[in-house]
Amino acid sequence: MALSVEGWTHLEPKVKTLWLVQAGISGVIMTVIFGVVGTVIQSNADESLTVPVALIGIAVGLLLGVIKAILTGVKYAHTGYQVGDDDLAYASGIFWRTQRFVPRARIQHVDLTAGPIARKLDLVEVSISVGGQPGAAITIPGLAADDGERLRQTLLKTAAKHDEMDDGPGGSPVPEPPVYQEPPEVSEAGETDERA
Amino acid sequence: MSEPDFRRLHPASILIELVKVLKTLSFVLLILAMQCMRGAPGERTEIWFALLGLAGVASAYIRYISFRYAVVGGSLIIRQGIITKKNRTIPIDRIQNINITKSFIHRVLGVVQVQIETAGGSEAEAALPAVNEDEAQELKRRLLVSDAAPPVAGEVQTDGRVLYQATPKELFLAGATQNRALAIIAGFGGLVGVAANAGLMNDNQIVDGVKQANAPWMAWGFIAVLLLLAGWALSIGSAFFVYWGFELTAREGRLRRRYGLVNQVENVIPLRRVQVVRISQTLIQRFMKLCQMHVETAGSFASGKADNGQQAQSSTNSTVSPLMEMSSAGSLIHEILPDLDYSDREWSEISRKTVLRHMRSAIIFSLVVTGGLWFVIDTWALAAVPAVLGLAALTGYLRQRTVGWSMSEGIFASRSGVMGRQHHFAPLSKVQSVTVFQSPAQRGFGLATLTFRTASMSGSAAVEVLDLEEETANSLADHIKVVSSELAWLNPDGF
Repeated sequence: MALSVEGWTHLEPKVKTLWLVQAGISGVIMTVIFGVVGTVIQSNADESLTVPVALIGIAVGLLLGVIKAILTGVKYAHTGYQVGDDDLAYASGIFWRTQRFVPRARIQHVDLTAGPIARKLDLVEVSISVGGQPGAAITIPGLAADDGERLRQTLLKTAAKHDEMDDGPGGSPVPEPPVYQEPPEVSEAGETDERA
Repeated sequence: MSEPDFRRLHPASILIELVKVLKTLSFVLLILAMQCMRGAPGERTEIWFALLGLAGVASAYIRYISFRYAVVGGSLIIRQGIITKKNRTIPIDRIQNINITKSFIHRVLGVVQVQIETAGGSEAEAALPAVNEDEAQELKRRLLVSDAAPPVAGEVQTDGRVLYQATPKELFLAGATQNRALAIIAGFGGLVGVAANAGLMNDNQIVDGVKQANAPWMAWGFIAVLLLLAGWALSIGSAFFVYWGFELTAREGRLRRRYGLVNQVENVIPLRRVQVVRISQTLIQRFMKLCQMHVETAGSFASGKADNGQQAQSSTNSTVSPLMEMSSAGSLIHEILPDLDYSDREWSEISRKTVLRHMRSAIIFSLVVTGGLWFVIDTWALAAVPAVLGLAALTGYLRQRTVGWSMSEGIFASRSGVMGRQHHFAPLSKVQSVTVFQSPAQRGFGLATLTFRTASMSGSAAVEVLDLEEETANSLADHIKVVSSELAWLNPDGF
């Protein structure tokens, strides 16, 4: 099977509920938008327009929402992540499939976010950022809050441990002792501050 | 620690800042000027002018007074502001590259602008608008000190080895073979439109003139050729203007380039910061066996967007060679990525099935086109099917022959472009993420696209191979993942 996620860690099953709610919300929004557009077209048209555009608009909006809701199960099956010794991998997408790998040493910072619905379900979204790319390289949408926190700790701990093994940033010899010393226990979050 | 030696900018920065302020206010000034021209007495627009000017001078003066910088220990410290104080510290070993630029005003006043870039964004992290030339060189020396190998005692400071120098002939060819002509013509067309709108020129004059000619199509053709030549000449002129005196040198593990006729630019970039080396060729350049070379870094490596906006286009700002023989590209790239042996490199082709994938999407496309045309030209619309399919087969075939990849000596390389051609070379130690992507059509044929990203934010720095055999894409991604993760621990910075 092409780009399969077999053997990968799946998200927290509760994420399906989150996606369902999100599908519902976006379905309602799309129904309203399409409905309004359809109504406007219909009210401005002359008699030659026999097709009920407003109704079609509403139907399309509803249909899109329903499709999105139906696909949550498939989406869940195709989404997964893998925490390797040296890398983190994330796979997603039903039709347009993506697998992305990030070396763990390259991780700059890890964010946990939770919206109101996700908070109700005790879920968090874990965003992993690497250097030089705007936004997060990998966003894992639904983990149990504890799992998310544990994942963050794991990812940052290794980064910090290997930082200590290395002699100085970049491993290059620095003639004068740099004024800016990284505190031993600080993880990547400290590094980001330093660069900012 | 005693209070470090904080320096001020050159006083010329007041004037330069003032020009900058006036530039940003130019729109307001234009409106005011138009008000003035209307000349209703008693409106006193002149007062607004004076006030604006005064505000400009005041803000430029305050900026100058409050600006201090110093190199302390391992950091560059910049203090700024009177009411809101800003104290910025840039660790020297985070510096990606340093740009020294001279605009026309800078040259008149005998100063330079220094920009210091870290991996923090699309613009320079710190800019010193006007510094004495000697002081700028001294600053550059101090800021780059930790990047190179420690200088051997008694070693003479040389100017470095010249890796590339643009001859006037090369600059001519650079302008002549670039695809800029069309863009310039479009701009010219827009200008004519504006002129016509403004009533400066009656565009009907041209149209009428053509209509009166004996052979209208010949006259149009003549105008088209004339425009093309004008665009071409402009392109050549701009190449001379931008790249005049282009020189690339290497010294102590750093690249330095200098160029520019009016706005002069000097960049220094540590070699170990190089993320991707890119060779690009336009169609004409391919026939003439010429190419351009670019170096992508995590800094923007640009020549100061704020001050010479026109110049800092994405196509020019990473250039290390505006034009060179393809045959000598190998030796230059070897200087930048010493591990890379360009001539001996073996390239692998992508899957033949890419042609089929092209055909399949073309069938769908041609059906849509035929459907649309049916209402216009009836059964003739069926001709669209073989036309579209033939074109798809041709581009698919060409793409299959063109797109390729190569993985050896710890460097991943890709080749792409049916008309113009691009070669990307990226060391595995620089990888930030690897992505394997599969669209529904690709899945049907068992194909996948591999994308390799470094810390360079430039879109053209992503190394992408389209339509690989799925297993190849996966095993390549695996290999890159394993090797680069190893290397990443050794160099946690990554840029």
